[in-house]
Parts: sequence; C-alpha cells; structure tokens
Amino acid sequence: MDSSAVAPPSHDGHNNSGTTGSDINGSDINGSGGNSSGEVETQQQQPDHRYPVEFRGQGGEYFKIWIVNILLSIATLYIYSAWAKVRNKRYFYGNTFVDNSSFEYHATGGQILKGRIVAIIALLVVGVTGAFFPFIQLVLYVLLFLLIPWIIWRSIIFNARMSSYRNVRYGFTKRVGGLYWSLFKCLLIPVLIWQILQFGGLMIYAAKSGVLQDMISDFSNNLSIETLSTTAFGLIASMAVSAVAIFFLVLPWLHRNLSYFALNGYRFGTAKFSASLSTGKYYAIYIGSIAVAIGLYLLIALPFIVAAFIFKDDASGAIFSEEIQNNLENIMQPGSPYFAVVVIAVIALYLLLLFISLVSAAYLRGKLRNYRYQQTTAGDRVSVQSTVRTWPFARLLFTNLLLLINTLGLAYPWTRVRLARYLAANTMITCRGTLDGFINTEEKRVSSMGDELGEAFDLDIEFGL
Amino acid sequence: MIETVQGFWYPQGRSDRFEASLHIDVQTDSFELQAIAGAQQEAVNANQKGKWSAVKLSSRMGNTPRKLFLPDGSLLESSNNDQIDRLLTVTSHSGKGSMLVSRLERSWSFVLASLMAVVVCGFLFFKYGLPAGASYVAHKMPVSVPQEISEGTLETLDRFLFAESKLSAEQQNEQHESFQRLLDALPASEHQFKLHIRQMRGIPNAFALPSGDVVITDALVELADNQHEVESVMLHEIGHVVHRHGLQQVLQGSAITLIATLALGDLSGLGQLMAGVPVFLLQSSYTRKAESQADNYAFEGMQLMGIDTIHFANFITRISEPQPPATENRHAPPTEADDESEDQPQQFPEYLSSHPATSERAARARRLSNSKTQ
Repeated sequence: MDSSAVAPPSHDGHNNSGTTGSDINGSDINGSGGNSSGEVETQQQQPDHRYPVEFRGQGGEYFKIWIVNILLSIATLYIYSAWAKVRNKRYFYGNTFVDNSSFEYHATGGQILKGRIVAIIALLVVGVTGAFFPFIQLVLYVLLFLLIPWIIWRSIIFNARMSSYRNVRYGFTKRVGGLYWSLFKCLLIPVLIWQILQFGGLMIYAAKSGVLQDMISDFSNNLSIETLSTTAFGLIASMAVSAVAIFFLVLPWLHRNLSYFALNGYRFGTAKFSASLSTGKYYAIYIGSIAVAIGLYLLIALPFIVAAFIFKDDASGAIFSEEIQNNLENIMQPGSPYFAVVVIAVIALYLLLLFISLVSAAYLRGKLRNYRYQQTTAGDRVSVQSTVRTWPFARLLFTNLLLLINTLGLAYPWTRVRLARYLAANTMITCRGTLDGFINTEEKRVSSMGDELGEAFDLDIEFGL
Repeated sequence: MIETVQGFWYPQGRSDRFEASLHIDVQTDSFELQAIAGAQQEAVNANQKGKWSAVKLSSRMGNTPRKLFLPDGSLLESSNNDQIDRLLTVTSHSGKGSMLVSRLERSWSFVLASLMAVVVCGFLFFKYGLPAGASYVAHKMPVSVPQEISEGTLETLDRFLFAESKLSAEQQNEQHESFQRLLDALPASEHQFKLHIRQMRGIPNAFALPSGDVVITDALVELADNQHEVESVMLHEIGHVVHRHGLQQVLQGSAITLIATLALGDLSGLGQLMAGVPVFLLQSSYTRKAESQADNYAFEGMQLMGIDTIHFANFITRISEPQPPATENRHAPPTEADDESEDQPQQFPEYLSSHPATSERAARARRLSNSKTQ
C-alpha cells in the first residue's frame, strides 16, 4: 500500500483528532480521551466521529525487513537483534493508521540491549553464586521469581511510554502492588485453600475410616529413606496436579484481573483509560470456548459413530469384520495398500484436531477482545469497538498455520501482516469530537539509571490486552 | 536550494493536527515551518524557523510515514520518504547514519542474498553446529549429571510398564555374565553399567538410561537365535550411554525451542503448535544420527571381541519383521535375495522416522561382516 495516501492532510485547517492507541501485534488497542481545559468544552458539544483502524503494511515489504534483520542478527551473534526488535515493532506501529495518522514506537536498540545485558548479568550472578554458596543461590532464585511481576510491570510502563500517536505519548499509571495483589488473590490463595482442604479432608477421612492408623503403623514398620521419599514424592506430585487443576479453574478470574490492571492503567497523554470488566463474562467466554471445542468434536465424530452402528457385524457386534481384525498386523505394514490410507487418515485427523483447537482459540481470543474493547474508554470521550468473529478469525489462523508449515516458517512475515490487517479492520474508534485536543503529560522524570534498567526489560507480555 | 516537505504537523504536547509544509534550505542549514492553524496560529507556534541539523528524524521503516521531530517538541509526519532520503544524502545530517539498514531492507538483491545466507546458515547450524555443540557440552558435564537425570526413571517404568522377568534364574544369569564379559572387554568408562531384565508385554525391546542402566526385555532374549545377537544389542545400548545421547538430546531440544522462540518472536499457544512440526522433524533426524552412532559403537565392540557383525544384521532384521502370532517359523534366514530387496519400498518416509531404515542398518552390519554367508 502506498503511504502517500497518508501524507498531505486532506482536512481543512482546523481539523484534529483524538486518539487511540493501538497495539501492534494487532492484539490490542487503546483509546483515550482528552481533558484539556478549554478544548474539552468545545469537544463536548461536537458530534461523535467514527474512525476505522487501518493496517497498511504489506507481506512482501515486511519480508524484506524481517529477513535482513535476521541475517544481521546472525552476523552479529544476536547483538543486533535488539535493533531488529525495534525495527519490527516500528514497522507495525508505523503502518497502523487511525484517521490517516500513524503510530510511532520510540525505543532504541541501545535501550533494549542494555536491558538484556542486565538480565544476562543477573542470571550469571545467580548461577555463579550457586557454585560457592548454594543456599544464597536458592534465596536469589526465590527473589528472582518474586521479581517477575515487577519486571512485567516495568516492561508495560516502558512499552507504553515508548508508544505515541499524534505527538502524544502513552503512559501507564497503575502501581505494581495491584499486580501482586491480583496474583496473590486469584492464584496463591485458591491454591493454598484447596491444598489445605484436600489434605485436611483426606486426613479426616483416613482417621474416621481407620485407614490412618493402618497407614501410620504400616509406615513406621517400613520406615526407611526410600518409603519416606516415595511418600514425599507422591504428596508433592498430587499437590502439583491439583494446583494445575486449580489454575485452570481460576484462570478466567485471574485473566480478568490482569486485564483490569492493564486497561485501567494506561493513559494517552493525560487521558486515562478505564474499563469495567465482569468476572462472570470472562467465565462465560472461557466456558464457551470449551463448549465450541466439544461441540465440534461431537459433530465430527457423529458420522463415524453412526457409520459404526450401520456397518457393524450383527452377529458379533464388532465394527470391523473378522478378516480385518485378524489381519490387523499385516494391514498395518508399510507394504499394505491400507497403510497409505491409514497414514493419510492420521494426518487428516491431526489437521482436523488442530483446526478444532484453532476455532476454540479464535472464539476465546475474539470474544475476549470484543468484550474488553467494548468495556474500555479513554478520557471521557473515546471508546473502542472490536468486531472479531470466530469463524473468519479461525480461518485466518488456520491458513496462517498452513502457510507457515508449508514454507518452513518463511511465510512468517505474511502471516503477521495478515493478522495485523484483520485485527485492524475489525477495530473502530469512536470519539466525541475529533481526535484533537489530547494533551501530552509533562516529561518530568529525568530517567535515573535504575529506572532505565527496569524500563528496558521489554518483555512482550500482553496479558490482558 | 530549498526543498519543501509536505505533511501533517502536530504542535508540541498535543494531538491537534494541521496541514503543513516544511521548507528546508540545506545550504544555510535552516528550516521554516508553515502550518495552517487558523486561529491558533500564534499560540501553537505554527510558523517557526530553526536549524535543519537540530531536527531529529526517525529512520526509514519501509514506507511508513517519516517522523520529523522539530526542536520545539512539535512533530511533522510525512510520507515523502524518498524526498527525505534525498535531503539526508545531500546534507551532513546526523540522520544519515541510519539510512544504511533501511536501504538494505529495500534492496531485493540484498534481500535474496540474505535469504540464501540465512537458509544456508540455518542448515549448517542445525545439521552440524548444534549436534556438535550439544555433544561437546554433554561430554563436558560431570558424570553425575546423566546419573541425576535418570534417577527414578527405572522405578517409574517398573511401576507402569514393566513386569518382573519370567526368564529362569539360569537364563538371567547368562545374560548378566554375557553383559559383564562385554564390559570387561570394552575400554574402561566412567559410567557404571548395569543390566536389567524385564518383561514388557511380550514386546522385544532394549534401551539404556543415561546413567548406564541397560534394560532388555524377555521377548528380546527369546527372539535371539544366539547370545551374540543379544550382545550386539547390548553393545548398541552401551554406545548410547558412552556417546551421552540422552543428555545431548535434552540439550538439543532446549536449544531448538529457544531458537524458535527468538526467531518467531512470541511463541503463544498457537505458535507452539506450529513450531511442533519442524521441531519434531529435526529431533527425529538427530535421533537417527544417534542410532547410527550407537550402531557403529556396537560394530566396533563386536569386532573387538571377535563377534561377527552379521549377528546384528540378522537380529535387527528379525526384530523389525512383523511378529507372527507365536510358534511359526519366524526365522526364515535372510537370503541373498533379501539383500537385494533392501530397496523394497519403505513406505514410511525416512524423515518421519526416529531410526534409520532397518535395511540400511542391516546392510552396514553385513558390509563389516567377515562371513558373507549366513
């Protein structure tokens, strides 16, 4: 697409616009509103404007950028990849347009590289410590683990600050405590409570039924390191399994809270984002995606089940004739004509299962995105609409997948562009008045060293969004 | 010479947008902005002058609009990329340095060269670099590492897969003695080898844990015509341990995942599904290589002990034959004709398989054999 369409303003002089953020991977968008003093009043009286989001990138163009950046990364032993990352991001930001203005990503390769070096040094320090002080290493690992939410938070701030639209920067204002609290409340507490209930319940049951006494006497009779470690292993394994189960039970709740944290933290200039998200809706969508998968499985399995009933041998009740059953071994030999059929059937089945899981994933992602955007406003005058539909989205994901497989990954740039284009085309910004009048925040912070380091942990984490 | 760049102009600190022209005089290193801001003209500084060299430019990114950051904090956004590049080349502007990469990115010939270089590098790396590196690291690790990673494995397998051997004590002793003979004959190793005999639902099988625990099944012993055949399998398994194939595979697996993540960016759930296919193909190519290496180790060991490698060929051919339901005369000795029929259509494509084609492995053993006849 030629970008010349963007250039000369087609509006008359006093025409402006509001805002929107869009996130690039195509996965998210943010809107925002202004609350400047004088401007707001005039904007209040103006009618709503609707702005479609456009992605103007092209697969071929992005392929060139992508492959050159990979080569340069290889040639520089991965050092250049920090700059490559910035260029990739800039391509997607710069090609995302709202009302003919594009987004910009301002981070530099140097910033990214610095963050990576710090991360490597930190890991090396922890690794080397282990050789001399194993206990301190353990403490450091725990600290590092506890630091993960903080790092995620810093990278959200960093990426927000490095994004702009119409000369106005994004920002993130929520404190990290909210993130820790969400994780604590939605993850740690349920798992702990469950463990206690499970353990307590087992103990009570065992004590009541007398099993406990048997167990104890049995245990003390056979007491050895081996039985102890087997018991401990079994206990830990069962705890881990039930923790995973709990994780899936609380996942929609956790997801809602993480989304809430992110969407209520962003601002565009001085215009703050806000979103009211219902936990029930998240559960409904998650359950819906499971229902979609189960429904499709049944739909596909149904003809086979019917066929099995029709063709089954009436006498024996078996589905396959005796001849086939007896010769199963020979049929499954590479030389047999049946073998090719079986191989093709297995591949077809694999693709079919893949497709079903993609439809289910498309449902989940699409519905959540639609809901989140619908609930999000920026400032008091911008809202966002997302119109992703499950079926076209699933088709896009599936064809992207086939493209990738058939080109051994070389089609990756095209798949990214297709996805970005689809998501942009399904996003609409509504703004009271035009997109003018959003005010940038003062750049009051002179970045200190410590700040820079934290900021440069640019993890690409988009929970929530 | 004065160039005029057209675009959108955004005043400092706000999202208001105006049409604007930026007139640049490269000779005097100056610019003059003329934005059409109507009533706000004065308030937003819509007419300003300054030094061209003080203007910061974003580097070119495909055909995305160029951002020109003016000294007062305002921004000019223009799509006239070619014009701006031309301006940069005729002046000594600091933005010049960033032009090289974007020029490379737009040149088809460089892109094609990059493509080829990346493909060749990738091929060489995955074919030779990664296995060599993983093997080097695996051998540098202290011997306690393979012991640790296989700890508990045999116990777990015993619980879920194996039953105790039904072979008589005599037969089992024979196997252990034969295993010990092999160990005595082989060069000393830092690994502690131990033979385990198990029953695995009647399936003839053998494998080794990185720790040096070699497991053979009852059915395997029963399938053998003579002890040399079992010994050839034992040697093959010992070869896996000595070459540290277990560790090597763990290392290769993590490296491939890491590389896929770095190259394709965020590996979300879908990405992992996609990456699964190439990773699977790569892994099976590595295991084929490992199998051949273990075969070679077995051949060398057999030659060292004066065992004819033909036994390996015979046994492996028999194992891969369909197992006829008991009793039948399962060992029709491979004839010369069999040798020819190696190229009998192997319908399972090689790249999907974790082991080299049986006929190939047998053929290699036969080539090393002293007795060409059965």
